[in-house]
Amino acid sequence: MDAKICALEVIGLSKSFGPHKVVDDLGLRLQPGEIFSLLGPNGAGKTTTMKILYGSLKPDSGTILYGGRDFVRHRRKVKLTIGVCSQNDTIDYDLSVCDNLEVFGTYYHLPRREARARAARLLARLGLEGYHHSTARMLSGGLKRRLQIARALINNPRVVFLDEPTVGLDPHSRRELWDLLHQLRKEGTTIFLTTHYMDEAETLSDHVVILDHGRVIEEGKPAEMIGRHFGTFVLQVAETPRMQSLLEAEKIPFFRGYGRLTVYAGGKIIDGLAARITGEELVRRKPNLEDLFIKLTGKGF
Amino acid sequence: MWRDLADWRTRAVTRRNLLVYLRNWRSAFVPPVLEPVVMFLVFGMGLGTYVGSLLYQGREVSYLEYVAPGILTYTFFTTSFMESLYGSFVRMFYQKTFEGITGTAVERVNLIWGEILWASCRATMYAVCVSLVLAAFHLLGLVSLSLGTLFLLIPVGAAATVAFSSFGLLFTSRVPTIDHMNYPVFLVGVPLSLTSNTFFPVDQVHPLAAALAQFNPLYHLSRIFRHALLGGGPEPWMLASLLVIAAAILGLSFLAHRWMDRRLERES
Repeated sequence: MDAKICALEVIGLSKSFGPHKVVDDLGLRLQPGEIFSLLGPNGAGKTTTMKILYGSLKPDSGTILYGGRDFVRHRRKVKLTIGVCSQNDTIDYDLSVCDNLEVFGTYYHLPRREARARAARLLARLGLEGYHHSTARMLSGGLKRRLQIARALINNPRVVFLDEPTVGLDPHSRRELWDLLHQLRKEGTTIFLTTHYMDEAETLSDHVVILDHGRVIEEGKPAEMIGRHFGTFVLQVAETPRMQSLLEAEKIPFFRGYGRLTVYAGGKIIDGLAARITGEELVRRKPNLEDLFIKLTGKGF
Repeated sequence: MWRDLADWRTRAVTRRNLLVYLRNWRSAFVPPVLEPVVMFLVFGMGLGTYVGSLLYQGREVSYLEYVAPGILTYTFFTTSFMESLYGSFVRMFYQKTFEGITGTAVERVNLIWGEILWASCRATMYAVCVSLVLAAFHLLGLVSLSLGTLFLLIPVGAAATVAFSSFGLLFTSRVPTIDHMNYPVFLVGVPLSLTSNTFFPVDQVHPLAAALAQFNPLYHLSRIFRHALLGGGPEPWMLASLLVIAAAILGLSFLAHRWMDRRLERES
């Protein structure tokens, strides 16, 4: 594939449900073989955007190009090259683990033998070997999630959509999934991810877009985005009336939560503030994507 | 839409439902075998004892013989109608199967055809079982049916189930919860299945009933089946009946696609 052609390009995408505009003139560009994260508070339009991009919802307007090909005109061919792991549990609980994958293979017109071979490889890759003939309902929550991800990969997709794939996974399983995503990226698969775990997005993503009210409010590489908004450090201090008054009086932006005040400001302000604070516990740490998310969206998640 | 009827994506959906169904094949084949036996005993031998014989097309037939073709068409109708009501609703609403499928290369139009064809396929499998039971009754001398015709009629019934399955999907596309299924089942499905020339000659009850029955594909199917199974030859009216069934197939499947597509967009 020509490196200049985006794996997925979205131009002017809009979608409303009644009077509510959920996706508003959205533009995205995903390069081949990158991990792209779409972040945003609940109701920001992430899942709706994803559903439009993989063809489950019709947009009101906009253009979607996969590898330069218009999704409307080449929809059926394009759909053969994408994989989806949705937020909802869509596993066929009446079928075995292996049958779940083989049936998904038929949805991509794979011959039965090929589907079976790919299913065996994917089960081994996702640590599900030994569960081939288990009924899907017998799997633990983490294994179910892995099975759903395995199904999304049965067609060796060029672009794979993962809607909050690590929800409900323990830290070990999460990291195993991160490893898998890294491997897929190395193999050239483009990964479109939504997540509420900012550490996940920061660790994995080559490119992040933060969405609010259906519009892009910030995008770029995680480190560059953080650098644009913060100095070297952010300051965290215990929430006291004295500290709050001080910050408000000097009009220094801060976020209040968890019994702490987090100050997002330039390096000089942070240094000046730190010098004047005495007697209170003070933490100076590097800013992260979660700080940026809270600063930009003005809310927790 | 019509081109997608034979598409591989449609077949993939039907195959999935068949695979799930066959997982429980032992229990799955109990109803189609037992139901006609029970109905035959209740309606045929029980009620039939009181009814005795009927005058059908100028000749006397036992109620047992009269009701046998009705049991078969009743099976075609109820199985396909109920499957596309309850089965499709559970897959769409509770199991999220449709959400999983529409995220793949399968399009909504294929999914809807796949559901219609699966309901038809299931009804036809049931009808084949019922036909075998009826054939056994014939061989036991309980009824006298045209056995060769019995199995030739199966494709006609199978085609008609496309209309019945589509009819069921019309309600699936509208009902908000599974409890609301009681309305189409008891206000539409049950009355229709019992009053469409299946168990009694509805067209002889009242002129209005006879007039309304002309628009009912199940009435026409029962009429054709009864006529053919009781030894009748080809008649001009059969062509008109087949045309009504064909019109129902085209009209109802078109409407089912329109309505289900909207519902699936909302469920997405």
